[in-house]
Amino acid sequence: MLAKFAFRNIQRNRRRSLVAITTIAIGVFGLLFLQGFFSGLIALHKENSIHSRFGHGQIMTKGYWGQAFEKPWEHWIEEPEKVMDMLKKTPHVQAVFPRVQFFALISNGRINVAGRGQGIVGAIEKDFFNKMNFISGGPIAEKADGLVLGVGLAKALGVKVGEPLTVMGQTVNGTINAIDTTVVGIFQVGMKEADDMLFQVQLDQAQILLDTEKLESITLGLEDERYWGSVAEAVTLAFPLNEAISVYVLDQVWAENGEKFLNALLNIFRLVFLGMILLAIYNSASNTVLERKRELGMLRANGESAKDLIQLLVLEGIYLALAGAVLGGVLTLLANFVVRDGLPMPPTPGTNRELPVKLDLQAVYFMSAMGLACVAAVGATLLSTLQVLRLSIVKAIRSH
Amino acid sequence: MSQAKANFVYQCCHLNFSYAGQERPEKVLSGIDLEVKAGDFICLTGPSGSGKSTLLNLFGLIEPPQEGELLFDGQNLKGLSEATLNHLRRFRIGYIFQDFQLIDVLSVEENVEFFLTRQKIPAKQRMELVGQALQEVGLWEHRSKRPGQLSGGQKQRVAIARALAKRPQVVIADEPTASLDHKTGRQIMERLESINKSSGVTIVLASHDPMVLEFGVREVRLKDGAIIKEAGGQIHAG
Repeated sequence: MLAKFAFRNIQRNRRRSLVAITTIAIGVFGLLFLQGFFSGLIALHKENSIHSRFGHGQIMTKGYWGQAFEKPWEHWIEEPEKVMDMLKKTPHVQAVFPRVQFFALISNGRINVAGRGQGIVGAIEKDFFNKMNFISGGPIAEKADGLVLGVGLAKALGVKVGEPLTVMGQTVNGTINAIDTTVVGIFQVGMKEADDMLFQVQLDQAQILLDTEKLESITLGLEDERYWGSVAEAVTLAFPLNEAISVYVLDQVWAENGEKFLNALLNIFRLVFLGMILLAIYNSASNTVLERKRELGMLRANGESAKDLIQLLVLEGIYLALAGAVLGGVLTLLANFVVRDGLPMPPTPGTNRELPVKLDLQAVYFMSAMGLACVAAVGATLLSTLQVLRLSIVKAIRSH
Repeated sequence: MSQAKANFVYQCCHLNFSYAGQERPEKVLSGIDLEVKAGDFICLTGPSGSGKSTLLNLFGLIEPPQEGELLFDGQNLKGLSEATLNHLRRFRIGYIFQDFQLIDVLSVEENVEFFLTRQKIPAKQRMELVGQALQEVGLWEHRSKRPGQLSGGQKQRVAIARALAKRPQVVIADEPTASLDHKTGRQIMERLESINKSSGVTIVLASHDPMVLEFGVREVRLKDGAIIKEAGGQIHAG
């Protein structure tokens, strides 16, 4: 009966209830839209990082990552085949990609430009690393002397697909070496430092250039990101001299810092929307208490305690919050349908590529936004109904 | 200290009551000695400011006693916890207000049922009590209507049904005829008199309306906070 009474009460002043519900709906919509947008943005950049450069993570020797060494190859993985065999048998590992990385000069015969080279197995990388965004040509694939390079580097060298380039570098023994390659693709992954510096050649070509058979790292492609923890644990347990570094660490700009930054921003917006909802409910509940003083007095005279009345009013606030939250959720779904192809966004900081951001709406976001609206409703109603505790029954009954 | 007597619903002993005035407390009840027996039909009369509403509020347990003693069913009200007072109000007292105070978003039936749900009476028994109360006041046919669809007299009859359905020990009625025309007011009084006689429920009402005295009530007339006359009904010495 109390629930029915509370439900009917919100229909007393329909305009006021509608204003409260609309305000809550806008708050919930704003919260969900922003959360979906930020989450979509993070997911997009993370997906881009995973499938253009880093995979889900990489295996390196312990302490190698983030350090500068005079002779880095001395710290590369010993007996990488064993590690790769183990990884290939590990559940949820989709593919393993052996790699080396080195610095070299690239020459077109007229000018030399310094770049960061990667030796990769083109044939096995082409499917997984499908977000390199080739603006000309394509991946190295099986092309033995193929080379792909970032758009900035290509511009600096003034090369096009099909043209020859010579890569000059230092072998592990300190001598100068060179390999002849042909440009097969120009990519724009969107990360400026990669697009201006990075180039890739076949792994065996890179190993000839460096005169080594060692591997610097083994990049991992998993069935899903959530398996990273178990795979990383398995490999470090089996090979304690190595460590597994996730894409979060490898691509701190977006995968880690970006997520932290956007979450911090989201929390600020959460506070703003929470304030909006608090005000909407507070205003509605305060007016309700004021207008229904006599009725509240009558209820008290018939044995309802102040706690009972607060319970009734809080229930009304929760109904308003739920109605507003549901409406806000529906609005968000509508908006998601309208922008289903993604919101065209200019390049984000540190990137040089426009990416259409799709809303990443998850059930947990809806639950948390609705939960937040209900918590705000309970808080605001409690605040506004505190006066009920001080309500003199006689004065309430006689009030006009 | 007064002796709790069996069969007495209220026992007032040297009851004084003051409201906080601007400069000094304003005394509204002074040395009230009154006993109300179970089944009494009492009317508090007197001019405005005589203290009848305050006495009614004290009987309704919505105003706490200050000086003197007030016993309800042998229990001294002074110092009772709010929870105990709420319990007494919920189970032992029915209220009828001058302006009906019905809940306009609930139907007639729901208005009567509301406080029964709060008494946690099972649904079947609750519906029986609601039916009895509405039939008693002749409004069973109007049970689905909202208060806004009823006349003043009908609203007051709903308020009576609501108070009676609680099966209270006492019904407190504050100017129950004041918002009604003479004819309807008389009908309401007839109804209350009949209920008092048939169910034996104690009724204490406050009224300006001299018409109410035609209904075999025990009149307690107040002036300046003191009882100046007790007449009619069955008088019990304090």
